[in-house]
Amino acid sequence: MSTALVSESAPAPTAAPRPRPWLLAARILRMEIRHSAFVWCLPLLVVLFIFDPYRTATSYPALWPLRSTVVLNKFWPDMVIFSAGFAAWAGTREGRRNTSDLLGTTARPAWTRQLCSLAGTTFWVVGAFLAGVVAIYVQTSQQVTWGTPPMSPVIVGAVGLIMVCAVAFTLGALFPGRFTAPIVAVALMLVTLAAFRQAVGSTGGPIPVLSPDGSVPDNDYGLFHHTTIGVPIVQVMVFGGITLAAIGLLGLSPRTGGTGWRGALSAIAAGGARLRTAALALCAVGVALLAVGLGLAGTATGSPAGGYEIPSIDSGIISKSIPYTPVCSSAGSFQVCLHPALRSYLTQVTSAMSPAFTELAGLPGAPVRASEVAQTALPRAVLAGNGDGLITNGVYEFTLNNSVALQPDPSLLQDSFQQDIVHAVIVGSVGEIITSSQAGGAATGFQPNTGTLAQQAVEGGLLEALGLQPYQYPNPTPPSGVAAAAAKFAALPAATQHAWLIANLAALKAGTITLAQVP
Amino acid sequence: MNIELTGVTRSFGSNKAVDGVSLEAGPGVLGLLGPNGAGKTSLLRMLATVLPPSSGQIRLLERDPGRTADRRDIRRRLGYLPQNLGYYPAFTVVEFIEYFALLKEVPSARVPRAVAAAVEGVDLGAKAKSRLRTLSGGMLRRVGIAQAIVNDPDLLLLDEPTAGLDPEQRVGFRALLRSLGETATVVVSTHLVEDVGAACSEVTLMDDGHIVFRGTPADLVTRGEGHAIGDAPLERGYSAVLQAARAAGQGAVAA
Repeated sequence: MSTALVSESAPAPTAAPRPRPWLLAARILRMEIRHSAFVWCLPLLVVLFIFDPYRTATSYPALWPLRSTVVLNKFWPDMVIFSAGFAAWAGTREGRRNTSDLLGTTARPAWTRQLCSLAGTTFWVVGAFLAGVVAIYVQTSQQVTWGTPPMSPVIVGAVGLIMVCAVAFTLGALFPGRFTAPIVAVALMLVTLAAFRQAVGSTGGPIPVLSPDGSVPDNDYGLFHHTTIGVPIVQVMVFGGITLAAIGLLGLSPRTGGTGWRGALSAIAAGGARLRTAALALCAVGVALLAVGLGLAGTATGSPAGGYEIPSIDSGIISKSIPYTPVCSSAGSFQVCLHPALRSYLTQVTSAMSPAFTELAGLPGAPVRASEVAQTALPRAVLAGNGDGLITNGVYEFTLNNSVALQPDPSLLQDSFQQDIVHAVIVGSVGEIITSSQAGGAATGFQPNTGTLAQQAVEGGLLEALGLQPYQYPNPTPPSGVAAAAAKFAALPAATQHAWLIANLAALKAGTITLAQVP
Repeated sequence: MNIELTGVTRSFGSNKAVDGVSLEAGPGVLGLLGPNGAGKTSLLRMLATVLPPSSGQIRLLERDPGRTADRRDIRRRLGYLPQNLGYYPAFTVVEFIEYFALLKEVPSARVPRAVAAAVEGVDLGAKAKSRLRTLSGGMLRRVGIAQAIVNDPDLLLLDEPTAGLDPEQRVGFRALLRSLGETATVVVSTHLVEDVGAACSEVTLMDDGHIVFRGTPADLVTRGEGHAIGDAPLERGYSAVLQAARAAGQGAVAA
């Protein structure tokens, strides 16, 4: 052992004034925000935003529930790869730039500066996301006629992106290297895509429930029914849990300095007992939230109105309808009423139904009013996309979901409603969903109500007189003789048709009139 | 004493980088000389609290760096320039130094003044707003020195601080070292014996993990009298001490 001595004694330790930690962190955060590399990808994100989420949103009908789906369906996945890549890049900074030793001699724990660096990237990520949401929502607010902007997609999206940043940053800090950022970005994007595929495929289990871009509520949500809050709450729980666990892990990271197991242990200890406790507590809270969230997601059931509901959270909410005053228009002797959110379609829908209403006016069972209702109020066959509604007590109850879901087409709208109304008056229901037992288990299928040959001929004749195609059954080829009878009926004067129908509609619907008896 | 080492050893696997070193140092400039692999950088990293010793005791600024609260207090009063300075290219000179001032918990109100003083201290005032990626190697070295002194440290550890500096800058830097050494303990690890002669009040020579010489630069010059190897008196002393230590089997050599 050797000894060296340099003269004089040391000055007495001085008690330096301690700065306020939050002020200090705020100043470091300001520097991190200023130097975040995420800023460099903003122009590319803007272009991507305009050509993908924004363009998609503006092509949808101006309905809050529909337009807001773009936030999680399109914008969120677009943001994931950039957020993950740049957060991981920020996480690798100390390793890449070889500053671990130098920073390891500073008084603040490594956790402080890493959290500031993470917050710097997250600030821009969440800021860019919110700016995009504001653009979509402002544009939508200028067109919608009813409702308020839904906040749950915004909250879920923001928390989801914070989770992506935290996980990517922690991976970057734990495995610093030149290729860490691209690998993490691609890996997290693939995870997102895989979850989305599971959600679309409805494979069951908690993943489809938790996938932000897969959890799109049905159109009725937010219009006729309150949106379920269970799924967003569980998503925020799980994403928040993963975020806290990742941040806690960052506080326990051996990569805060030192090499080898001894260096790792000393680095873990570097922050002191309080920091270790805080990091462990965050990890524990995060894991607990994750576990509870996954447990709740596992209890999710398919909602009758589409999407998922968490029974323990959504109990009672799903059945609550949203009060509204319908908007109506009158044309001749009939009235058409729509949900106020669809006010802009009122003229179009009224003119689409008008010829059929006029043609059938005065017939027994013919509707005198058309009223839009929630999809859940209609039979399963209609829910499955067969027709638009049914006639109940002289009211044609219909949904616009099947007609205007994404791209409203005026001619399709006209064909669809008139065929539906004529079919309802002459034949009856569109059909039913039947369940049959098979060797491999139960199978469901649509059984169309095509009616008798005479009903088909009269229906076809009326539609032909209206200038429409015959009613589209699964098998569109009409039986032999029906087309000829339909053409013959269509050639009759309207007054003659009407008089015959008044006299014979009850017998026609009862099936006692044969094809030969059709004039 | 600002530095008190007692039987400090640091091993990396089977290799003992620092082997049973004891050292005490108060205010002044202590030169740490030695050939490559002598253990200077490992010793400095232990003094900088980034590397724990495998065995032995370390007390810095009359505190125990093994205790969390003490270590944090030491770090507030510590300046460190590593051999290879890592830096963030997008930061400006002022931002980089301010970043370290904040991490060293310099009180917020004092930060602007402390940063300005550090920048002026290394004569980088004209480049204060330049991004680090635009600076030459010598300027980056001065930025490294500035971050080390921004908190007005009581213990300053510099590993090869003059590498990359031109002769004029080196002269200025030696003056800065002498000035800092009046109140703080400055440990300068270097291969350049002229730096030791010009700036250090004490010199310690390490070889193979041991301290093989301690004394003043004049003592080292005396040890080299009559020794053939070396162009300058200090170099002859350096060479003579190493030769004697190796001949004696790495024992301690008193001044």
